[in-house]
Amino acid sequence: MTPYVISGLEFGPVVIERVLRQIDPKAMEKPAGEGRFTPREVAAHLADWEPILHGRIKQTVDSPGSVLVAYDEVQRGKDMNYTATDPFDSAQAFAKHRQATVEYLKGLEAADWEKSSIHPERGVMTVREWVMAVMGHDTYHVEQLTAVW
Amino acid sequence: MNRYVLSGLEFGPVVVERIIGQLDPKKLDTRSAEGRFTPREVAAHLADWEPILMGRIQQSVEQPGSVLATYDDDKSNERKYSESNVTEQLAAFAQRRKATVAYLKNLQRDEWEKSAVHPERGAMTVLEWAAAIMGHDMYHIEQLTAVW
Repeated sequence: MTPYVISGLEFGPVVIERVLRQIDPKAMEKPAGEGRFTPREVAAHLADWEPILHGRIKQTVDSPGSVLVAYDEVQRGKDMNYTATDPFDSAQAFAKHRQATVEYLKGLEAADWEKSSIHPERGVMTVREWVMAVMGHDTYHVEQLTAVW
Repeated sequence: MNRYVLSGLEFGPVVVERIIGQLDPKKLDTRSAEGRFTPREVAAHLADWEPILMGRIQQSVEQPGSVLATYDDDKSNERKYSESNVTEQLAAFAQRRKATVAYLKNLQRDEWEKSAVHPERGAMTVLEWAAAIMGHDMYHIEQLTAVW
């Protein structure tokens, strides 16, 4: 196992929750930039998206070569009513979903990490590449949250 | 390469700087737990390690199959992390990470699969080193937020 990958994944929700607690409650509706999510929406998005990412990894392992379902992040945010969610409930759900992702990854064989499936927009991606995308996605949103301080 | 990988790497130093900026300055020398780095030492460690990690990636690309040098993380006393200037270390980390990202952006897809041999960790590809860097960032970001 690549060093720091599992711990990096485990620490993502811990950091998100701590960073949310540093945000003035009034700033929960403040986007970091035009067209970007607010902190409340970021928390909801992470909780909502984690099972999707986990599902993509699982599909890649179980059905290599298959085509994944793509979602529009912005439209999904509207459909799932991100603006009406409690950020700390979302952070808790994110942590629970991430724990399931990590447990699943810990049970994989080395060869499973090299299996791939096809994302309609991003092309062929291996399990390893999905895991890296999850890690980068966490940092992307931590940056977004710290931008509203 | 997935867009979140490069942006995740780019944002690491930005997040570290903001989190340290949010700390009470008196806590720069506080440890989140016995034996762990203080925030000042974390900043120095990240600045110090970035060229080592970048060097490993470069060696993997240019000399696949070669053996990497190892370093002892615990040599922070010799490197005087605890006496470093946090602002300077954060700037150095950001500048060095920029060089790492610029190098990765220029790689061809097959170069991400090239590997070198770490004496303790075995063969690791460029892709795996990039993942390790992102995980290493998050490990230390967690460490910093534990001091708030």
